[in-house]
Amino acid sequence: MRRLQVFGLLVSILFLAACGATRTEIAPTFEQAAEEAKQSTVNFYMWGGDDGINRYIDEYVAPRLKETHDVELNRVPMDTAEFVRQLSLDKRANREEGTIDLMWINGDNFRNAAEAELLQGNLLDKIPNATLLNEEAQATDAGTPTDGLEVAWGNVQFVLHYDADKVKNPPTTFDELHRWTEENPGRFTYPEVTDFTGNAFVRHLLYAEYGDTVRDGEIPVEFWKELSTWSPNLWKEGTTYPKSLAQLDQLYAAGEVWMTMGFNERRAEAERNAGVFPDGTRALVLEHSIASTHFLAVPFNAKNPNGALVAINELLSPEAQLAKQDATYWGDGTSLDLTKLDTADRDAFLKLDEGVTYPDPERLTERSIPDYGPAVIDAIREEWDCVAQ
Amino acid sequence: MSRSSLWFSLFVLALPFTGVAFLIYETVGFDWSELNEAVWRTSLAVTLYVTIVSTVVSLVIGTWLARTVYMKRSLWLMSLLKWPMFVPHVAAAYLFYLLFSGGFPFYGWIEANERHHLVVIFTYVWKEVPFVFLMVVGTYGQLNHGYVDMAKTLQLKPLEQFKVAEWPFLIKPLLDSFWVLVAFISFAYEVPALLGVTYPELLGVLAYERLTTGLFLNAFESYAVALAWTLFIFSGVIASYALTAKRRRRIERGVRR
Amino acid sequence: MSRLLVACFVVFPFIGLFLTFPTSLTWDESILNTVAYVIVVGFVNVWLGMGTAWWLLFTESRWKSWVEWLTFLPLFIPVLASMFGMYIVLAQIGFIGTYTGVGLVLLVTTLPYSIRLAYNAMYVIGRPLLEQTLTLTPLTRIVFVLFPLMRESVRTIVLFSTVIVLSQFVLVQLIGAGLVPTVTTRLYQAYAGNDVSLALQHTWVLVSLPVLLYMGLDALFSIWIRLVKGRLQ
Repeated sequence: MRRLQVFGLLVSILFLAACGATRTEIAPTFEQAAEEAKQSTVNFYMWGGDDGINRYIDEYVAPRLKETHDVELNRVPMDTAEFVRQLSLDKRANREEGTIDLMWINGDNFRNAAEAELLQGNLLDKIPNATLLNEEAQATDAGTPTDGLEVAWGNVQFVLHYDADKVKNPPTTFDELHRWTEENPGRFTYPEVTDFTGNAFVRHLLYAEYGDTVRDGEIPVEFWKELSTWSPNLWKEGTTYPKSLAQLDQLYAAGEVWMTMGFNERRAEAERNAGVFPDGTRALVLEHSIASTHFLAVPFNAKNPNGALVAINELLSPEAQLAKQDATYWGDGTSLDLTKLDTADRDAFLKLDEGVTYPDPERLTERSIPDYGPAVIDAIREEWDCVAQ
Repeated sequence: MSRSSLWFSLFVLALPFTGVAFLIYETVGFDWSELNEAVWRTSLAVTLYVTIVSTVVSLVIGTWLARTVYMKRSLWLMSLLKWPMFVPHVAAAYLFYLLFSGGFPFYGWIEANERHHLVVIFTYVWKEVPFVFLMVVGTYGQLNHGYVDMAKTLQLKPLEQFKVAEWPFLIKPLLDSFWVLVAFISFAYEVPALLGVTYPELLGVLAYERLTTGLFLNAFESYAVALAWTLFIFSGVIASYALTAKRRRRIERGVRR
Repeated sequence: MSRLLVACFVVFPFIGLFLTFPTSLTWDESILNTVAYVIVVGFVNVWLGMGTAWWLLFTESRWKSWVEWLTFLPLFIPVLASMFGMYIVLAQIGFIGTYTGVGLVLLVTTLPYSIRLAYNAMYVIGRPLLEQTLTLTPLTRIVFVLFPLMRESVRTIVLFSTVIVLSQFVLVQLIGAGLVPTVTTRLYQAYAGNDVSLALQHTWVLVSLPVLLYMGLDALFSIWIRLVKGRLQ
């Protein structure tokens, strides 16, 4: 008898808790959203591997948001793919009131989230500061149209960084880079293509050979053969590759390899100033550089979507964007269109562009190319294994 | 007292089975031939290699140590052997990574991140030997010395003494440890992720990677692999216990004091 | 001689630890959470492990072999395989992102070991000795006989569950939805990152927590046994 009682109790707990919780609706206007969001907490899910970025949110954005809108910003560090997976499980479990209110996302993670209908739409009309956005950056995310499912937060370009004390004559094209690795065996590598940056590096090589002709994702076998010829001269003879950009940075910081790479042309400045990267660190722009935008999005089951809108609006304000681009915290390029700003704000942005490790901004813009779509990213991910063997 | 805790245990332990149920549900209609890819095949091969080598070496060393400690009453060694157990796998992997990835004299002799996975095996052996030791040393503690004495009186060779007087009692703890280690090592992420190579990857790493990066399409592959592997281990466990059941029961009855 | 060799083998990886010492350890929420989880999960494991093992050893039931397999097989389900199904179930009960949910899944990963360890320990002590205690009330049985007798196993169970709890990253991150920070989730980023000394500091924390707990438990047991012995005289 007792046994049945305990069992019954457990079962009833299960069922009682299963019902309840309905989806929270977004307020019709921004003012109403701001009113509703007062004294609430916004859970902001973002990749947490960079100290500068974390400090920007914790020390600059969060106090500002508290002061201006009485909204608490709670930064939750998590890998992007992980919280997208969490959302997809939420969808499957019909979890209408989730834990994520706001998230930092781009590239194939966005494509996956959009395909699985994990995001709230029509964000742009509800956010006043969205009118200041750079329209080109806002339009697509690594080839996928954004359709108002996400809002551009930052805009960066791909650059390599090298140690000028060790590399006397840096290459100027990807072909020369190949030759350079042959002359300096073991001093260059790139992250695995499952990594965002590693995949982008291979896309650059692909663009150097085939340009726009492979946008459909049909990569010629010759390309992989050519890429295999890089292997013997890479770090550890190309038998293994860094799992992430952070690991490549670690090798670079330790002097094992002499070059590193990444999206965001200003990313090395803070690392160099902190003494993590060598003093001789300089930027290297080869014949072209993929421009990449990263975004903010609100999931379908956000508990506090109104608070999320308030936070996005704040993150898009010229002041917050300026502080983000400054090397003190992050050095991330703005997603705003400078021509839409008033003169004082615009001048403040233009004044920022000085740093030892920054590339020449004009040359960088000149060589900027739009990204390949998800088809190429996926193809590289699936076919690259033959190079690593 | 024991009944309420039993019910609570059963409630908690039903949870992982829901995980298996979920995998079955998800893989309905999955085209299993998709797994017949070079990536998964080489991954299976290297996983078997790392798992079997680490497990067997750990079992042999662990048993040998338990025997030594028991025979020589070496208490200091017994307490020293606990040390690796205090170190979580993540931390152990990181310690080995530090020692074998540059800056130390071992570098160049054995390196982390190479295709033979020697450092991965090394890490597992270091972590699991104390576990095996712990599982086996209890058995030696309760071993009836009469059997050993008898074997000696019969003037058996040392190996045969072991076979007759000790081995039958070791079957159960060794079987337990064998399957725990195989299940754990073959589908773990942390250690091989830090110390392994890009290609070939161990099953756990590859499955997790396909699960968290990129395509959702690939998730079904990971689910299918996780399911197949779990069921494979299940059947191995059940078969091996069923096959040895008779023998074990006879021994257990004999040893009961 | 060979024993010395083994000793060297056991000690040598610890060299890595001494490359640096933790300089600025801040006592924050994640450490508090971790300590709380380690203590609660350790306690529940001892309680459930011993209770279930007791049932398995001494209760006659036609369900026994089923129960045996049900408590045994979870040892062989990889976390990676079970966590998504558990997420779906716990989402139905609203346990995602809560302390209870994380506690439950931490129990899932530790309890099978504890039941096994407790079972083996009771088995070694032997049925006759334990059967004599059946005349006592449960509480006296536990306080005066079971715990002192099983001192070593209780310590092993606690050590095991502690170390397993400290190893869980993916699981805690998924079920806790990032809202339940533990030392491991916070430190994990450091292992993947580019700051060696930070990662080493974290290793220190991960290693010293179980050591401290083990020693603390040892002291507690010594006092306990002294008290129990005092009663006997």
